[in-house]
Amino acid sequence: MLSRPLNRPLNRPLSLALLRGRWTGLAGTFAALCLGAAILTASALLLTSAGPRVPARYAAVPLLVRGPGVPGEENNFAENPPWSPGTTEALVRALASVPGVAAVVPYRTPGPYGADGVRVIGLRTEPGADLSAIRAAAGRAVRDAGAGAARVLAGEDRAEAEPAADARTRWIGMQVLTAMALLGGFVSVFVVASTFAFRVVQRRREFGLLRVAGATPRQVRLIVYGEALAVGVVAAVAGALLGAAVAPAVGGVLVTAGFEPASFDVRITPLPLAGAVAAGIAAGLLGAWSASGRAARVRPLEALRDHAAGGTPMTRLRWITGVASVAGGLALAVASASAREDLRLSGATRRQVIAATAAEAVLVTGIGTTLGFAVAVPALLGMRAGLSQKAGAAVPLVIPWPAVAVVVTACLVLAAGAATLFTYGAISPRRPPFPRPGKAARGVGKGTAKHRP
Amino acid sequence: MRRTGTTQTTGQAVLLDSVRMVHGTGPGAVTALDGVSLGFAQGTFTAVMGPSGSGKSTLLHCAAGLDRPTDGTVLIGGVDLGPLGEKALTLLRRERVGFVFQEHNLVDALTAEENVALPLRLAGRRPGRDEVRAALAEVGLDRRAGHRPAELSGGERQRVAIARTLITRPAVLFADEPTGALDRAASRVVMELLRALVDAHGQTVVMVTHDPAAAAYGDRVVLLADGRLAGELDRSSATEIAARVALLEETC
Repeated sequence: MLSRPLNRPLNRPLSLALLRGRWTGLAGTFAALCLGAAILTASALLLTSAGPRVPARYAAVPLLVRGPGVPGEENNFAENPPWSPGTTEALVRALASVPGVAAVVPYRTPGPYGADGVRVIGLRTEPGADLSAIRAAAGRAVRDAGAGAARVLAGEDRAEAEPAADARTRWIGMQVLTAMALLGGFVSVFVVASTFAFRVVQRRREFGLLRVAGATPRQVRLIVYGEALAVGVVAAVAGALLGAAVAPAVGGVLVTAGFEPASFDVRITPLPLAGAVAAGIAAGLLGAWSASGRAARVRPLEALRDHAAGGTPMTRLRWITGVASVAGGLALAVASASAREDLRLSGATRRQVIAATAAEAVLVTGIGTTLGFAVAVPALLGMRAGLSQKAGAAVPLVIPWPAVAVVVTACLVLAAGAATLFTYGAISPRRPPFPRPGKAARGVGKGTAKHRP
Repeated sequence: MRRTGTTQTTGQAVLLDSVRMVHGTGPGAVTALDGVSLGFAQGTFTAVMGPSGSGKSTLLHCAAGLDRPTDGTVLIGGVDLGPLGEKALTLLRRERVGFVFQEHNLVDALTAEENVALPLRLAGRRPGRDEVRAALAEVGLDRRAGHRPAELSGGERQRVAIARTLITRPAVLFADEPTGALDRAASRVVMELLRALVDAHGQTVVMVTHDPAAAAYGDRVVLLADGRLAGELDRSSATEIAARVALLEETC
């Protein structure tokens, strides 16, 4: 007991040495970063997996001839027009005479305005035939048949022949995933920021001691960053693994919810994983940024602070309020989503639904800010009175307006983001078919344009 | 330019010139130090005493560069602290000043050894284990190197704190009630240690205390009342010092 064997190196990084026995204090930060990185990883994997796929019905056909136009955001995901029966017949005849072509398969697909027709012609080739030569010859045959704008697709390019409905579904999925990734990032940065702010308050005496022992403000700042980096690396890697593990399941949910086409499946690739790890670490450092500044401003004499200063951080009232707020928030989110669906069913336009959503976000943030001030200001005034009495002079009440503005803006963004996520479920058609003629089609157009980033 | 400040040859380890310290502003302002001029010669051991509220701790904080006086000049090793920025002041403290508070001097998460090595680590040096052990040996704790503050007694913690100040060989060691939280026996060990540093190494020590027995280890006692100098004693016995302090408290 008297001389204990030393197994710890004397010169390991100070940030890590200071963390000894106190890793539990970083549990909140770890959880936030781990979940954030998991959400980012899952979103990134899903996003990179969400490219167009070669439709299953064309899997056995090596070459496809397709009319001009790709369904996309620009044309409201309109299916390209079919060839006229005459052109179809001429094309089939011309393609059949191309050497190496074993069979010509016109695919009849349903279209809007009751315009069924052929939009894609598949070419089966003879075994061992030279695909690129056939492709070139088919291109010439298409031009000779008077359908010059048509394109001959081979290999992965055949994905361009995906149905417009799939392209539309993928586009919606892209918005949802992007919103999910942004939310994940935002939330983790803010939670890390608040956990670190709390840690710095708790450790003012320790930072004061370090300042007395000769730490410059910059060194104190770096110690906080070092801690954020240490937690960030571990949490981001754990989060990335977690995200990769749940991504296929989330993909299944997205398909079920109609945010991705049935052909969607998740591919685990290294780049999104690496990106999410880097983003998780960056989120940790970003979250520690303001707290590190506050730590750097701790004066050496704060080493004399009373150990008990600050009191218990989590009073019972705070626990109750916190749990109640989370439960209330969840209930409201679900309720508002169904409320929007009702709005939509009762004939509100998309514009009205979106306006209602925006108003809600502003209202919620406004109420939250007011409540926050209502809670904080009396307590601050009480502290001020106490301090003034102790100091024998009036202590001014300083409200950090820039910080308040940043927090309020962030809450607004969060509220709007969360509301948009739920609103999507309410205002996007359950089974996105093809644009319908008349009013509804124009309505869809407007709604879509509204959401364009 | 700001980093080095002005250097003057004074022959004193620390020199205070007309130092005033006012806390707060307006009618409620409190004057903690009211024009104190005082020198601490190299290799001497000075005890600062006075009734509570006399400004002795404030004096020590100002002299050590932990706090900035409202008015007046503080020189440490001939360097004027006034024009130094926060970083330069920190570097000067790191190199020339050691400070021991009444308690809670050590970082709880670090072992005794790591606490002692802290100033060197912060200076960007990689201290050798021998160097750190030597500093701990000087306070008689080389066998407790791997222990954390919670595993040490109050007296041992104070001695580790002293070892930490010694590792940088500071021009002056400040101690604010270093025995204030210790029992008689532990106090005596700490005071004998401080005395030995002065005698053996010519260390300059400035100590605030309210304990006449501790002050009796000093070469001189400076008395403070209401933020002003209220007299001086050469090396005296605890009884003489106690009598003088009692007199001072009566007149206040």
